[in-house]
Amino acid sequence: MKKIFLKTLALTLLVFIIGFYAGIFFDNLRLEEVKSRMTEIDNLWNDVRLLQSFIQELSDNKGSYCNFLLEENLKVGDKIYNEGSKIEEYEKTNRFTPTLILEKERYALLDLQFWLNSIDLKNLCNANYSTVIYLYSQYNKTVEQGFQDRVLWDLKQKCGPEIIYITFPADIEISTIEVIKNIYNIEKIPAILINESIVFYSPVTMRELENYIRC
Amino acid sequence: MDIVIDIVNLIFVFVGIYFTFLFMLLFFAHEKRLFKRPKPREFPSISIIIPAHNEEENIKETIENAKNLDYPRDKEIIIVDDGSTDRTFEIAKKIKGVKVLRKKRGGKANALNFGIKHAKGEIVVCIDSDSYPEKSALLKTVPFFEKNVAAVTTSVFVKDAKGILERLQEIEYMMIAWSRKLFEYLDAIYVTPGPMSLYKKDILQKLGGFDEKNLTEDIEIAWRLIKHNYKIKMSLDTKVFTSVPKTIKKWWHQRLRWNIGGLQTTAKYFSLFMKKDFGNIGTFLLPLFSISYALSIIGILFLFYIGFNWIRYLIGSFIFGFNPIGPFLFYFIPDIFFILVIISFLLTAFYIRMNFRTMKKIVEFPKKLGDLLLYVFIYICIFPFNLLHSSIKFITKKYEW
Repeated sequence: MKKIFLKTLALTLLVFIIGFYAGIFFDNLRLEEVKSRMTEIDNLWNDVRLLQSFIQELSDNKGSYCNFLLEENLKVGDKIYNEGSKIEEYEKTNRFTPTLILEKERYALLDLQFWLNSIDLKNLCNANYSTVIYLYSQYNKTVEQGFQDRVLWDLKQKCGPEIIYITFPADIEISTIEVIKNIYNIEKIPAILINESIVFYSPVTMRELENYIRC
Repeated sequence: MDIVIDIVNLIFVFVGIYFTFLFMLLFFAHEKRLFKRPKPREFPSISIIIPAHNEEENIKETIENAKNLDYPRDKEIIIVDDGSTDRTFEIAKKIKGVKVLRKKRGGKANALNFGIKHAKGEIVVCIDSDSYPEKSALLKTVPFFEKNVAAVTTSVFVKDAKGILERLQEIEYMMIAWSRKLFEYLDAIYVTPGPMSLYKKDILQKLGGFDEKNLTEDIEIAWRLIKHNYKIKMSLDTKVFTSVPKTIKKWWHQRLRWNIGGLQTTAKYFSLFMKKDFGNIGTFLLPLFSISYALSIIGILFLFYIGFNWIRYLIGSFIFGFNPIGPFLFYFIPDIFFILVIISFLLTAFYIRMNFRTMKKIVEFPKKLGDLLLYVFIYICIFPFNLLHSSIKFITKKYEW
């Protein structure tokens, strides 16, 4: 009698382990996909940044390139944003392979560069888009934070290119983020920084945000 | 919380796969013996006991059916009218060749014990008053009474399954019958169902008869027999057709009774947990039932938790002004759970297939695929809610037959 229970246990363990490793395999596939996409965006980003530098250094008529630069910047921004959403989704799934955090750091760095570039471009081209920076917590995902994610996502859908929406985890180990928090006196997260001047502490309703953002 | 949910999910899947494999291995090991029965060496005297309470609609047909059962010896048929307020007694009294006893209402177990006291046969055959064994039922079941076998059970099927609820129960009964036969190979048949089960009278009396306090005397007696190291056998190809609830309300009430009876029995024998000297109660039935209860309740609590989060999300969407529908990010993400659930699902589908393949040798195969899908994805999912309701009633002691 014992034999059948042990046999079953062995078979179950075998299938369970196969299933588990198949899951890990898919996790790793996803990780590789994220890595390769991040490299792709990295290259794209370098291209845009280089282009902007060249124009700033060499062109006599910088203003004439503004539309093109703004467009390219926005394209990269959208890609970074979409990739970020995808990493978030993958992160929910890859619970047993925490290496995604490295990609998230890479993503946050890209976002920070994109933000800096958007500020530069705004000044250079006298653009009138709003920047909405959302600093959220990677390790303390509260219900309120979930609500805030959704409010900002809706805002981005509503405003489209009228706002530059950048999100990054503010409690991962990146020194630039600490500096940014100091510069803007951000005492706690989640926080929303609008147009590099106004700081809101989450949760903020859609109506409140709309008072400060033109779109 | 996420990690707790992950761990519980893994346990769910593991337990599911384990028991599916267990039944499959049992099936493949005994496939050729499923319908075999020992050769009859003798035909002992038998007494058929039919307890009845307000069964004026069924009693005549039930008695006639019992009278027509083939058996090489005379059969004693005892009808115990358990305080009926309708014409059950009068109708039964008119039928010749049966003994009709009348007593104050005391419940089914009490009526059975009363009948057993008056029975003369060596084997008592307990038949519910709304159940109809096939003509050869006695010939097929009695040979199983070998040495140390105290009880023999049968395959119970649904009589005239017309409505959707009855058809779902038809599938359920088919699954139960097959699984119960497989339990036999573990010496762990945990119920001798009321529609028709046979017992050696002397053993039954020695153990004190049916437990009158238990809502499911047929579960309790099976556990008691196992506890005393008696064997219970099942005649898989003996068909007994029984009436089943036709309305959700009656069905729910019936399942409450079954679950509360199961909880009563589990509680009664819980002191035997992991003890080896009492058949397979301590080492198999109690762990199995305990795991089933625990997982069902945990599953329900998780569902409530998910429901609570959804309500909170909807309230949040209203307060914070975001659209509750979306973002629709449809990524196909096969994760570890997805793989394990697919494996589990395929195994279950294979298990059901094996069941149908076996059972269609004796009963008609359920024809509607929709019924089967409804059974797997809706009907079974209602069980834990009933169990939760039963548990609350059991804990608060608010239950009666």
